[in-house]
Amino acid sequence: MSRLGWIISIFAPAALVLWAAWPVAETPWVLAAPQLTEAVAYEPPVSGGAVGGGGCAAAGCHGAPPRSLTNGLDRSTWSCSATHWLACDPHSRAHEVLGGELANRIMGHLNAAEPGNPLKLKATEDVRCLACHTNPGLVQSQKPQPKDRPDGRLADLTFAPLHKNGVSCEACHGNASGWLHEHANWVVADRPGKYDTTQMVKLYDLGERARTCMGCHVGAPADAIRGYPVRDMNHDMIAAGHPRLNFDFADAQRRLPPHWYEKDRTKPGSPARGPDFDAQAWLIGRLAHAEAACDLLVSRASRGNEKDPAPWPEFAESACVSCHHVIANPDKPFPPPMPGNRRAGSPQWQPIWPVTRPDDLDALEPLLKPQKAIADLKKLLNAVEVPRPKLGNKPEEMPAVAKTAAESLAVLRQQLTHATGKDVRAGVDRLLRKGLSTPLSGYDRDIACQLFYGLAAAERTRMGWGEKYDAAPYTREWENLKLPPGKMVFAINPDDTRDGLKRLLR
Amino acid sequence: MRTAVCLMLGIVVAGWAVGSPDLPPATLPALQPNKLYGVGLPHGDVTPATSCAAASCHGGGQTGRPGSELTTWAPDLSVGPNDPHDPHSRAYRVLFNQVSVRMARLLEPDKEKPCPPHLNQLCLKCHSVDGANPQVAAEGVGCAACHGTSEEWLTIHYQPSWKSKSNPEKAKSKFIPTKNLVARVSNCATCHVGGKDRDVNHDLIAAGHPRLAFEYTRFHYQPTYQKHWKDPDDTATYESRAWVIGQVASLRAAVEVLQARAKNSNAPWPEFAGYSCYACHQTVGNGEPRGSGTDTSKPLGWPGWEVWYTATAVPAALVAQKIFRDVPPPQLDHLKDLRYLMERRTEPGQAVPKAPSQTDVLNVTEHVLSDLDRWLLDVQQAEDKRSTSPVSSELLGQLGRDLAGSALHDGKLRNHDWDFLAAHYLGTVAMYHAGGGTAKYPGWQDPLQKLGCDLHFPRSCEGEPRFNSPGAFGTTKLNKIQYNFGRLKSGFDTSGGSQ
Repeated sequence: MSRLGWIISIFAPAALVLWAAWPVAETPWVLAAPQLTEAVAYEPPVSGGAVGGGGCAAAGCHGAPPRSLTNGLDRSTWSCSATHWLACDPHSRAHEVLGGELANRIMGHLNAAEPGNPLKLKATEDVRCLACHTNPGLVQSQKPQPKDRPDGRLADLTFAPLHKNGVSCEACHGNASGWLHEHANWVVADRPGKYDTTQMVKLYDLGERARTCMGCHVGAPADAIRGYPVRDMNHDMIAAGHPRLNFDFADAQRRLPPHWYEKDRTKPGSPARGPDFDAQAWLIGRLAHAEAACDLLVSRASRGNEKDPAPWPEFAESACVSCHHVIANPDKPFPPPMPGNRRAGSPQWQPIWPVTRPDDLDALEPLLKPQKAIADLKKLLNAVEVPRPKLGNKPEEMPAVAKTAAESLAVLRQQLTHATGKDVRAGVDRLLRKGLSTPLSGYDRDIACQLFYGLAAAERTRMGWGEKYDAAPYTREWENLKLPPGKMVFAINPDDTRDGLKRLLR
Repeated sequence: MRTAVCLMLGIVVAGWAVGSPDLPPATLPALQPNKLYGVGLPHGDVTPATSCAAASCHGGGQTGRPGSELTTWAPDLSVGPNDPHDPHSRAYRVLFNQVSVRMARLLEPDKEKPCPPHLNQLCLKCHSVDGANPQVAAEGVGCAACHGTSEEWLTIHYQPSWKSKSNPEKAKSKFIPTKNLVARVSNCATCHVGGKDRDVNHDLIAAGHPRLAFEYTRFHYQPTYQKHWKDPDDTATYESRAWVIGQVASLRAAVEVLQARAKNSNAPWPEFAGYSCYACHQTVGNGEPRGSGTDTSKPLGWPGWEVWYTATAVPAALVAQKIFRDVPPPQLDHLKDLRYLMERRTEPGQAVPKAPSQTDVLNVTEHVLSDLDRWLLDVQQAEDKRSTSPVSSELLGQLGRDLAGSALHDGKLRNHDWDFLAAHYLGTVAMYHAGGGTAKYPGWQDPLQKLGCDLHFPRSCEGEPRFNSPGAFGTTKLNKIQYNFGRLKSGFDTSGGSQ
């Protein structure tokens, strides 16, 4: 029997049982169905409750002295992953910032906007903050809410000591009660199947990993199965002082100190990061990012009742600069070019969601078949950017349009995880060339940043293949693009910026 | 004597108004105005302004003198923008300038040849006389736009019998009695704020049209504006009446525009032009002032609705009560409801709602318009009868101090919105001029001038055109504005004090 057949024969019954037990569409089992043609929406993995991060750090489990910090990562890094993480991963300090000066200021503004509300929450008590600044599975209170705070915003503070662990193990790996005891006994061969049955998150799959990051770094709808509250950092919070969420998956992978040894669990003995890792991460991350943005839009547009309030229109769905520019010269209208059906005076869809120019995806042919996703995204842009009721900018019509777009993007993302590194590298190159062939406007800093992240990922890939690397032009372009501290200035010199980025193409 | 007669008349009118439900209909006077003279007039034949320009009629050729109204209005077609003239005479010509041509292109980006502004009815409704033929339209906002179309009164309006007619009688023949301040200002507002078929919305503004921010008393003091009429000498009463009527009539027009937007299922919604421009169009960053000052019942990150017209509604109603003592003050309860709806405000403890639907808004605008119309009609009638009592300079000083004070709460600015602060400033200025200006209140000049400076739109550098926005409207400026409103409120140095 082939290995594939062998694995199927063992796990097909398990999958059947799982399918029968949960009438929720599952992410298809990647080994059995590598070629996806149908739209499959991203469904967060199902599992039992969260147990908190402390339990993983026993000395005999993941809490050995962090040799990896000095000796580098290897196949035994799992034994000190918790201590390694604790030592240098910024997620361990995510909760700590809730007690800081900025958090106090934000809460001051948010509470002042609720006059007469007797229970002024601190950031460490507010579900909206804790949803991403700690393990989201330990936040929502199952107990009845106090009378003076009926809106479900008061977090379950019995877990307050666990909250202090920050965005701990389970926030990314999934609630552990389903696998805590048995995962130590898993063997290499049955591992991917175990992930499915216990719903440990398949972080080895770059697409799943990216979607997991996006849960907080973009936002996500509430998840009743995992017990997650809605994660939505919206314009109310930005107006109160929270920084906007500008995220690039590949860049985050570059900057995040890994507490793991990269491997593909579906291929036992696979090497650590291949040389094309950065190109793959950028492209997969981009699709996952867009997908998460569509899912968040579905949630934002469908919430909004007494129990589950959400503003609409949600200004965080629009480009910051569309409104936040000072009207200076009376003779010069803003902004000059109007892509798509957008008219003067209609805000652009948030360009930090990396799909505001859907035609660029055309360049992914023949690696993927992006035509349906392009059409769906265009429909979505039409609905979001054209504030006319007859064209569909109604909250009740928005979710369907956004959901379709998310599903099309999910297909692309899942297909991409099976593409070879060489094909992805070529696809990234075509996408960047296409992106740079379109002129930028004087306020397209966010789009220019997206392109920069891609160019940098492509360069890191070339480094992986042993090519020489010159940091100077990248540093120069980044100095031009990055925002000055504490300021949001969106204006760029469009031609100089595009020329500068073009010079980074090789 | 006149005062006594007016007072008596006022009392009689008030007595009649109170007692009217018991009276049989036969005793009602035949021509009580039941609508605003200057609003919603049917189109008539628009006669060209040149037909008023006979030398023996209004074209006397002596700028500024009676009998030369038309000459004063447009002394010479070659006047430059800085020469004294009435800008209404240039309203049509601006449709050919660079901004207008580009606006046409941006409004119809799909068309190779967009409709030129001088043929676009959307533009011509306000840049000429609504309904005029192209030849007459070329005269700009000519006589008929403000005085009404003249086919029914052109040949009689110089006869003695016309002079003896009452305003309601004149209005029946589509004449707009502009000496009545309610008629005048509500007619101005049909273009300068908008109306049910006139709307400068965010599409137009984004394409390049200046925003509309109308405040009636402000234009008295524009040095280049050349009036072709003379207003009464009684500055105190006149100026304060003009401010209050201007506030209510402009607000009424803003609500009418909102109503039209809510009725039109094809209109953009939410319509950004109905919200405070600089609430969104401001720079953002760590050092920027956030929130709405001490006005905290509005959710964060959401702009105020028509702040320019609503900011001083409550103080204006108080001023109205003091000045039009025989007229019940405007009812603002429904307006409060509308603001709550538009600004997503809530009562303490309730969840913040979504932005309102067109249907929700439509229902409330009906009530608001009816409230404001009731007051405007009462005052229109009082203006016709000249039954307004004089207002003392001291009272106006007090009203000015109250207006300045209403920009503050516990010594802090109630709202950081530029529109809110500018509206309070202009109201205070109107009371200052009405109360006798520097001669009476020498201490006011300095804080008012400083407020004016801080609220003025900046230039990027000397010689450049001014911004179309307050620019960097940061903490330093806001602190100065707070300080100067505080000085005016305290009245500490109203008699010529120091810094």
